[in-house]
Parts: sequence; C-alpha cells; structure tokens
Amino acid sequence: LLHLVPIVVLTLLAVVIAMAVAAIVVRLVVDFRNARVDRACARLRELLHDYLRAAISEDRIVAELAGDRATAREALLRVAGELPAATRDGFDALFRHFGFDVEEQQALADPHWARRLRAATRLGLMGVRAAAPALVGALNDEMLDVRLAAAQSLASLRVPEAIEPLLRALALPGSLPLGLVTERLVPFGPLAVAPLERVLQQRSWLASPAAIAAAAEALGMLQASSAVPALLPLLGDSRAQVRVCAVRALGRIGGDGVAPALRTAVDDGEWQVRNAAVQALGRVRDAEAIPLLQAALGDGAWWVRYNAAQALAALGAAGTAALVGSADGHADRYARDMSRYVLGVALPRELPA
Amino acid sequence: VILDVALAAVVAYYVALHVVYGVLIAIGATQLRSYRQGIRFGEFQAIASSPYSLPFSVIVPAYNEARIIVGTVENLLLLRYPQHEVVVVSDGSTDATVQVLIDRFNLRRVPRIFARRLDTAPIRGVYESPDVPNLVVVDKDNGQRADAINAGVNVSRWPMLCIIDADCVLEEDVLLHAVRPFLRDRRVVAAGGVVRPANGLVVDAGRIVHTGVPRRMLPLVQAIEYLRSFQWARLGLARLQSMLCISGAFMILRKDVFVEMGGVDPNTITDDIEFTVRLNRYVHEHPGPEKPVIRYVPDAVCYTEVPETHRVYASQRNRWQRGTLQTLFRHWRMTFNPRYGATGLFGMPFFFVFEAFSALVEGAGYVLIGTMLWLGRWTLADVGWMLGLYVVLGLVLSMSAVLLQETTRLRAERTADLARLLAAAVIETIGYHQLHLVWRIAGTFDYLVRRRKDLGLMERYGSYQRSE
Repeated sequence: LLHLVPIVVLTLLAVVIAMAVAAIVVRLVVDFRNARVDRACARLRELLHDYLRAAISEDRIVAELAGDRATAREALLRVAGELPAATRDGFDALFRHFGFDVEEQQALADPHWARRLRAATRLGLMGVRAAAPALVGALNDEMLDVRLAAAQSLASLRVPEAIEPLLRALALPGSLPLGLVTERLVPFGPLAVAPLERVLQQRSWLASPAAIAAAAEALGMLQASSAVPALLPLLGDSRAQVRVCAVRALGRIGGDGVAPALRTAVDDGEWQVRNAAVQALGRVRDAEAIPLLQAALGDGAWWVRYNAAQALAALGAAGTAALVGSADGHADRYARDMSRYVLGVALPRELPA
Repeated sequence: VILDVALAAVVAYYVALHVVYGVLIAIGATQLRSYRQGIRFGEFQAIASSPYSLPFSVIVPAYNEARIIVGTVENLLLLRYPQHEVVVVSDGSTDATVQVLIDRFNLRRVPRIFARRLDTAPIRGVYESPDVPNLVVVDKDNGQRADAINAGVNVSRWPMLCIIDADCVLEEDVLLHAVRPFLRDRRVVAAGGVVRPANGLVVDAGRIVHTGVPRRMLPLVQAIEYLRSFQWARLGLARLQSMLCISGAFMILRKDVFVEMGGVDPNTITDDIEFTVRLNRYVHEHPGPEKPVIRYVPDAVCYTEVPETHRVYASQRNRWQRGTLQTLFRHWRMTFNPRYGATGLFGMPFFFVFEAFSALVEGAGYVLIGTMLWLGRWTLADVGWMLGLYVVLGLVLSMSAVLLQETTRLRAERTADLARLLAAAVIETIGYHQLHLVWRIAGTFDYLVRRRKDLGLMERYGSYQRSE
C-alpha cells in the first residue's frame, strides 16, 4: 500500500492546484460579467429618463442593448428592479421586443422549481400584463415560493381579478402565516378594497378563519374606511384570530363610529383581543376610553397592561394624568408597577421618574 | 505487525475523516445553491419594511468589556430591522462596562418589570434611555456567560432571540437574513449563522466599511479553519440534522423554546455546544407533523474576534476540546439511539469520532510514523510521502472551502485578499494544524485526567475598531 501513497499525494496535489486556479478564474469571470452588466445598466439609466417621457423611441434603447442578449436581460431586469412598479410603464415594450416575456411564461411550466420561481419573479418586473393569466395559473404551483412570487408579481401588475384566486390559493388552512398573505394583498392598493370587502360579506366560499383574518388585516393596512361596516360584525365572530384582526383593522382605519365598538372589545375573553383593543384605542386617540384603559392596567396579561399604559401615554395630557394617578392610586400592584415603568421611560428627564 | 495494523487504522481513519468532511462540504454546496435560488427578488427588502417580521431581542452578555462594548452596541443599534431591541447584560463586571454605556447612551435606571422565568443570579438594576428606546442594559451579580444570557432573556421583550458575544460585529442586514426561515416555516425553532473572524474588518462608528482578511498569520490561518470546518461543513451537517454546535457567538432562536428548555446551562465549559446538543434532543423529543426544525442560514454573517496570540489561542482550543468532551459524555445516550433520528445515528457518532477524538488519533499517527522511522522500517522518503498525504488531504478541504466561498457574496473583497487566503490555506496545513492538534490533545488530557472545568484565559483586542 505504501507504494500507492506517492500516486495519491501527487493526484491530490494536482486537484488542489486546480482548485486554487479555479478560485482565481471564478473571481475573474464574475468580475468580468458584472462589469459588463454594470456598463449596460449605466447606458440604460442615461437613456431611461428620455425614454419614459417618450422623448426617444424604443429602438434607440434596443440598439444600445443589441448584441448580447444575456447582458441585455440582466441589465433591463436590474434597472426595472430599481424603479417602483408604478413608474415602470413603458418598460414592458422593451422586454417584449426581445421576447423575454414569452420565454419566462414558458419557464413557468419548467420542471425545476428554481426556474419557475425565477420566471414568476421576473414576469412581475417586466410588467407585461398579458402574462397575468399565466401568473394566476402559477398561484396553484406545488411550491410555496413559486406561489408567493406569482402573487407578488400579480400585485405589481395590478390585476384586480387576481385577488380572489390569490386568497383562495394562499389562504388554504394553516399553510401560510397570516402576515405573508396580507403582504401579498396590500401592494394591490385601493384596487384590492372592493374584492376584499366582497370576501368579508359573502364568506361563503371561504369559511377558513385564516382567509377572513387575512382579508380583514389587509383592509386595515389599506386604511379602507368603506370597509368599516363589513368589519364591525367580525367583532362578534367566534374565532379569536378573526376578532384580533378585525380590532386591529378598525384601529388602523379609525374615524367615527369605530371607538365604541373597540371599547366593547376591551372586555374580550382572549388576551390577544384585549391587547389589540387597547392598542387600537390608543391609536384612534379615544379620550372616552381612559377609564377603560386605566382598568386594563390591571389586566392579567403583561402585554395588555403594557399596551394600555402606552395607549394612555399616547392620549396626551389627560392620559398621562391618568397614568400618573394609577402609578400611586391604582388598586392593583401590577398596574402601579406598569404605570411607573412606562412613565419612567416615556417622560422627559426633568420630571421625577 | 501490531504497528502495521495500528498505522493502517490511523491512516484509514484520517482518510475517512477527510472524505466525510469533503462530503459535508459538497452537501453544503448543493444546499447553498438551492438556498440562493430560493430567494425571491426584493425579499429582504420586503422583510425590512414588513410589520409582520418577528421582532428580535439581541442578547449581549458582557463581562469586563468596557473597551469594546460601546462599539458593539453602536453596531447593533444600526441593524436594519423593523423592530429589535438590544439587551446588554453586564455579568457583574468589575470594570466600567456599565458606566461607559450610561455615559454614551444617556441611560437611567428604570423599574422595568419582567417575569423571572429562568433562574439567575440577582439583578442589580435595569437601565434604559429616553434617547435610544430600543436599548436595555442589565447590571447583575456575577454568574457565568450562560447565567447572563438567561437574565437577558428574562428581561427581553420580543419573541425572537439573537444571542451574540460582546466582541461581535454583525452585518447590517443580518437579522433580515436570519429571520427568513422562521417567517417561512413555523416549525423552525433555531438557526445558526456564519461566523467569521473579525480581525481585519474595518468598522467606522458601528458600520462595516471593509471586510478584509486578518493581517497577522495566526488569525489568518484561523480564517481558513473557520471557513473549512464551520462555514460549509456546518451547512452540510444542518442538512443531515446533525449540527451539534451553533456557535455561541451567533445563535438565533425562538424565545418560547429557549424558556421551555430552561435556558443555557451555566454549569458547562462551553455552554453553546451543550445547548445545541440539548436543542437537538428537544427536537427529537417532540415528534409529529409539527416536529421542530433547526436551520443554518448561509448568508447571515457575524464577525467575531479570534485570538491573536498563541497563549490565548491555546487556551481557547483547550476549552473547546474540554467542552466538547463534557457535552458528549453528558448526552452519550443519544449516540446510536434511533429515537434521535439522524442526530443519534450520524451526528453524535460523527461528533464523537471525528470531533472529540480526532486530535488523539491524528497525534497517534504522527507518533507511529516517527516510530516506523526510528525502527528503520521506513525510509525518510516513505515518511515524507506519508506526511505529504496528511498535508494534501487537509489542503483539498481548505481549497474547496475557499473555492466555494469565492462563488458567494462573502468572497474575498480584493484579489490580494484571495491570494492571502490561498497562501494561508497552504501554511495552515503545515505547522499550524499540528500546533492546533497539540492544544486539543492538551485539552483532552486536562478534561479526562485533570478534570479541569474552568473557562481559561480570554482576551479582547478591539482589533477591528479602527475607524478611518
């Protein structure tokens, strides 16, 4: 066996040298490619301003990028990604000119998930509205990431018809955290309000609390004041998750008629609902809620006590006075502690903590 | 004959060790590839602006860190994240650790209320600042690093924990990367991130300006070692449910699980290794569809100082070795126990054979080769080739790690840095690696024979705190 050792050593040595060389080559190749895309991006950015004002034609940019297709795609995607979706109008013509949109639509059916994911992402950047049906189809992809990317792209394409399929595909029971669903809905902006309200009113095809909660949450994030009538009944829902989202949404939307409903939620049996309610009351600056918030300082849950104190601190002079009063006079020891703590951190330093 | 058999066994072991590590790095490479392919465009941007990103409490245990703590906290406050708090726990420091923080951040004592869910040494006071609302400083009686972490967790407010060392520098986006697996899958309970040497970093007012490689030789060869055994091999180990050490310098986990497990154990030599093994145990003791998962995030990066002098290096490696042995003996029942799945069948045996006792076997190899020469059974040339085999096997691993790193965004910043890394890979295998063996053998001896349990010597240099 000893005779084999030199052969093994020399072979491995060759491998080592090859890897060292490869490391250097990889570096140079990556640098070279990046530099090329960087240059293309720089040229593109220069022309872009004029192009988006329609001062120069599409052909001028195409001529600039012609030659290397891969670089053109990379540069176009990168520059498109730098712009907010609303200011990308006119970009789709460039992608269409090269046929990139067709390629990516085909890639949505690729057997490899990474290619489907990339295609779903890129179609959103390209802003080609004709790709919407393909993206709606991708909402039923077996891979979660592809579904999410398709949803994100549909949001940047602003196709309102996509919202119901989106809720259906994303809010399957227990498949996704609530936040992820809401985040796909919010980018649709005002377009999403009407379909979401419909979901709350009908409720027939979506009995899952996750879907209703997501819709309520999204309406709150969009601050859709027209949704208040649809949200108020949810406060009586039997599922805590739905009540929490409804309270939170009403707190974000604010306006007349919201505060009395929120005040009733302070007595809820679930601490998460009470917590959302005291936060919402602080947010809508409801002065009439001060006695309720003072009582909530003695709640059994730390977060409710903490957020009740924060809400009082946010209610201006009257709220702070109530908090100072509670710090000395509240019957509950934990309420006194919490008031003192929040006052200690929130007050300017001249006042005694 | 006995010599021959022993030598063959040692060589076979040595080759097996390197093959296994090579396989782990290869698995790591495929994992890295699918991780990168899975990141959607603008995903981290979305996490940074989302109200649904789980809020973080960054826990920083500190014992006599007055020299560096302000820089660390400045760095942590700059992290890009929707909501995070920094909890510094002074573990009964005898220097001005608390005072420098009070002066710099205008802290004052507040009656902060918290539940003592974990048992710790008494807390002397909690400090907060009206200027920096997300900074909390806890002053407590001296316990251990683990005790300080537990106290910090008691005081902390948010559901996610990021536990780091007082000498760490985090990349600005690190929490965005670290939280991603938790947002995508609620079964994820803990994650480890990339730990790299901070010596060579240039930091200005808490912000990383350059990520150079260390200038001095000892930290530079450690950079290679970190790259090879921690960064990529760990990605492979995580895939095999066998990541038995999430470095205490950078650990991300859910607070409910941390509290349920009773926190980190102060009666250990290396609390991070013990905790991670216990975490793996926890995972397998909660089977079912919601069985918890531990992940490794290959692009959440934490920089930590590595020893610059041989004295401290020796002490650190000695401690790691003792901590590994202590943990393994404490949890030996997991080994080859099918109840613990891949962790019991692969992870623990791997840990025993290739981590805990590798130093002893490797050392024995050198002794045997020397004996063969002394007995005249081998010529000098034979010995040379044998040592060459030792060296070249290590080189293959180091080079593949450097090569893999070059394809990522963590690649060497300048071409000169890459050249230094390549040179260090060669130098590490000749001399430094053997020195490392000696410290680890000493650690084995200290633990098994002298029953040494103390933490040894540690020094901070603040070597990266150069603002230009």
